[in-house]
Parts: sequence; structure tokens; C-alpha cells
Amino acid sequence: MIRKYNLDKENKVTDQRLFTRRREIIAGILSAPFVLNSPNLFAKEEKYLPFKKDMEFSTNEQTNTIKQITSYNNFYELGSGKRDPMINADKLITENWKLIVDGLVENPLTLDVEDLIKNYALEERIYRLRCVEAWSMVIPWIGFELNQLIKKSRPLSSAKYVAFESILDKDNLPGQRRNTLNWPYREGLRLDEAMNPLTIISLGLYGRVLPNQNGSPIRLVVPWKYGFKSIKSIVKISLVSEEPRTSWNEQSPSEYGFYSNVNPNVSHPRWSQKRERRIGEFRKRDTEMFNGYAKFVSYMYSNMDLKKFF
Amino acid sequence: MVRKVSITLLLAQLPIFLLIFLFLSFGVVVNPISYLINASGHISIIFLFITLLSSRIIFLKENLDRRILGLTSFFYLIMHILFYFFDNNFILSYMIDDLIHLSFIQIGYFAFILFLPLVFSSNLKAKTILGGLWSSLHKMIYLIVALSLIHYYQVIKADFIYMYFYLLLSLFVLVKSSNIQKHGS
Repeated sequence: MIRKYNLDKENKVTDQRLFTRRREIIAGILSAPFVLNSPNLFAKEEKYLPFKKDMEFSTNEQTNTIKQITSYNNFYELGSGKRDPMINADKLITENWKLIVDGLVENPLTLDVEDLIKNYALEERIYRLRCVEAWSMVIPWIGFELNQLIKKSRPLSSAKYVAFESILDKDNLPGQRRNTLNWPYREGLRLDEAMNPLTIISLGLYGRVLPNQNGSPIRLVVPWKYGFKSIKSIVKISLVSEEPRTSWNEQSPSEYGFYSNVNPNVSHPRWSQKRERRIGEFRKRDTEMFNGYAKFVSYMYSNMDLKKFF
Repeated sequence: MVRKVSITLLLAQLPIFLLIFLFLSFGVVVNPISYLINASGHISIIFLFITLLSSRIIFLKENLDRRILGLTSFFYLIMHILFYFFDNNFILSYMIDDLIHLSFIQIGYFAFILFLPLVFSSNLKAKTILGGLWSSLHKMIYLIVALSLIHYYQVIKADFIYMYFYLLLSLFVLVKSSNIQKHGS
């Protein structure tokens, strides 16, 4: 009887090894959220790029942190949630990337990323980025002006627009297995917009190659337009005569125009564009015309009704 | 009765703990206010559905208190609105501007206003006074669900996955109600 009682009790005693580590175990459970949150900042390689600082176009506003820039992204190829692109960053395969420049050009080009780094003097451009969802960031891009690349391709006089196309890789990109958008992602600019010195091809940010979730290895940055115009992970740039099709415009033509210039006076049909939340700031701020770049770009739209050509 | 109330109250608090856990796991929540607006909105809708389901699924009926579920949904709705006010720096002119121009804001307020009589008549006293009127009044929950879903639908950019989930739930609720009517329980 007594013996049986002891056995029962014995079963209820915590294993000595577990008991001595009890504090570690509890700490482990409590810290799980922090450990699971291993930041995927520059996951691939810490590759630095050579660059000089630009003084002409860059803002001196406080830049957003690398953590903010790399963990709050709209990159539907890697998922539609804001953190999905960071979580799925390694699903974007960037090895042996080729960029094609074709269409109405005398000199079609096929380039890899090394060619771009070698042939173009990279600059740091600190730009404001205003998302159509009414938030904004300040990002130190590394890149070069798109007009250099276009000049190199020697466009024909019939070329009036520039069409951009992103990677199509349904096997690897989880977002492309769903038809949230018509893949591949496409964007476009008028030729004069593409030639504007503000428009850059970016290969990096914060001095290093682009993290995958930010559109590695080659992306466009057009700072006076809503963020979705700044197409990521570009594989093809074509010079064309007609206004090219663009992904968000195809998805909802009445809401996302071809121009999509940042304009506080023309609201998205469903939400206001008058104000924005600068990521990290406590209070909302007013959105500026052309995202504050009016002095560089407004001349291109002087004869246009921006309510009609939104 | 006490058991039902405590289980329901526990369930009502669960999202808060879940949010704290998620906040900690994110390290830095890059756009916390937007995150909180979205989360509280979804939680409010989910509790509306749990309320509806609690009278249709026996297991839920036995373990959950329907009135507390409804009030929980309202609590998260209040949080949702407060986060929205916060997002607008509590500046009245911004919010009036939204109310005039944005239909999803109008529909959101409309759902909130319809919710108020249900909240104020949720006590037993009101139930006795209102008598038969009480249950017709509380049928308004269906309208509130519909308005909430329209409100949510209007802010979706391209990914409708949660919307499909809510529509599926709505369908389930409707099928279950017709069953109940058929079998007269």
C-alpha cells in the first residue's frame, strides 16, 4: 500500500534535468516571440555598392530605418500582407538576372547587374516615397538616372512611352500563384517622365544591394508618383509608341490611373489622399503636390487636367 | 450561468493577449496605428459572427453567453473607432471631411449607430420592458453584419481572401438559420 503510494508520487515528480533548467525553459517560452522574429534585413549577402552622394535632388529629411524599409512592403509577388515580402524574401530568385532593353530602339541591350554597376556612376538619392495607401517613407536609394540607360539604347523618334515588366516566376513566387493581379506586374511612363533626372533605376539602398523584398536586383524609383509606379525586380524595359498597359490600372481603371502623380487634390475614389502617415511619426502630415517634387516635374503637366489624367 | 459568463469573458479578452503577443513578436510594428485599426475591425466582425453562430451551434450555445459576445463585438468596434480618431490626430475637421466624402466611413458610422440600441437594450430589464419587440430589434444584427462587410469590402485593394472567408461564414449562418426554422427549434 505504502509502496504503491510512493510510486504514484514518484510519477508526479518533475524530472531532475527539467527541474534544474526550469528558469531557462520559462525564459525560452516567454522569449519565443523575440527569437522567432529574426529580422530578414539584408538576408542574401552584405554586398556594398560604390556611390557618391547626390546634393541636387536628395531631401535632408530624416530617413526611415532599415527595419522599417525592409519589413513594411507592398510586393504582391511575395504576398499581399505588409510583412509577407520580408518573410518570403528568399522566394525571389535573383541569380543570373538579365535586364533587356528593347522595342523602338536602335541599340537593344541585354545587361546583367554587374554591367549596370560597372557602366553607370551610382549615386545616393534620398527620396520621399508616397504610397497610394496614404503612408510614406524617406529612403536612401542607390542608383542612376534612367535617362542614361535609355540614351544608350538610342530610342527611335516613334518611341513615346516606356513600358516596364517585372519577373514572372510562378514556380517560386508565392503571390503569383493567385490572381490578385494580372502577372507579370507591368508599369509605364511617358518618355519625358522616364527621361526626367528624378527618375532612377535603383540597385540598392543604405549603401548595399537591394534586399529582395524591396525589388532586388533592379527597380525603378519615380518619387513624384505613387509607390506602385516604382516597379520592382525589372526584367524588361521596352520603348513603345502607345501608352502601355499597367497592372493596377488593369485591376481597377477608375482608381489607379496611368499617371498616378501624387496629388492631394485628387482623391482615390474610396479614400482620401490629402494626408499621409510618415512611417514612424505620431501625427499625420499633409501630402504635397507631386510629393514635394513640383519644381522638378510640374512643367511636364502644365497643359493637362490632372483630375482627368489622374 | 456563471461558467458560461466566465468562458465568454475569457474568449472576449483573448484577442488582446494575442495582439500583445504578436506585437512583441514583430519587434517593431512598422505602422502600428494602421495595424490596430485593421485588427480591431476584424475582431469586431469575428465576434459578430460568433454571436450569430452561438445560437446555431449547440456546443457554442452551451458554453457561451450571447449578450456578452455581442457586447464584445461592440467593445472592439469602439476601439476600432478610437484608433481611427487617433489616426486622424483627433482633429474633427479631418474626420468630418472623411464623413462627407468617403462612403466606407459613412457606412461604418451607420453600422455603429445601429449597434447602439442593441447595446442599450442588452440588459434583462430592457428585455422585459420591450417584450416581443426586443427580438425584432435585435434582428438588426444581420443588418450590422451586412454593413460591416460592405465597409470592409470597400477598403480592400486586391486581396479578397478574408472577404471570401466572411462570405462563407455568412452563408453558413444563413443555412443554419433556415435549418432551425424548418425544424422549428
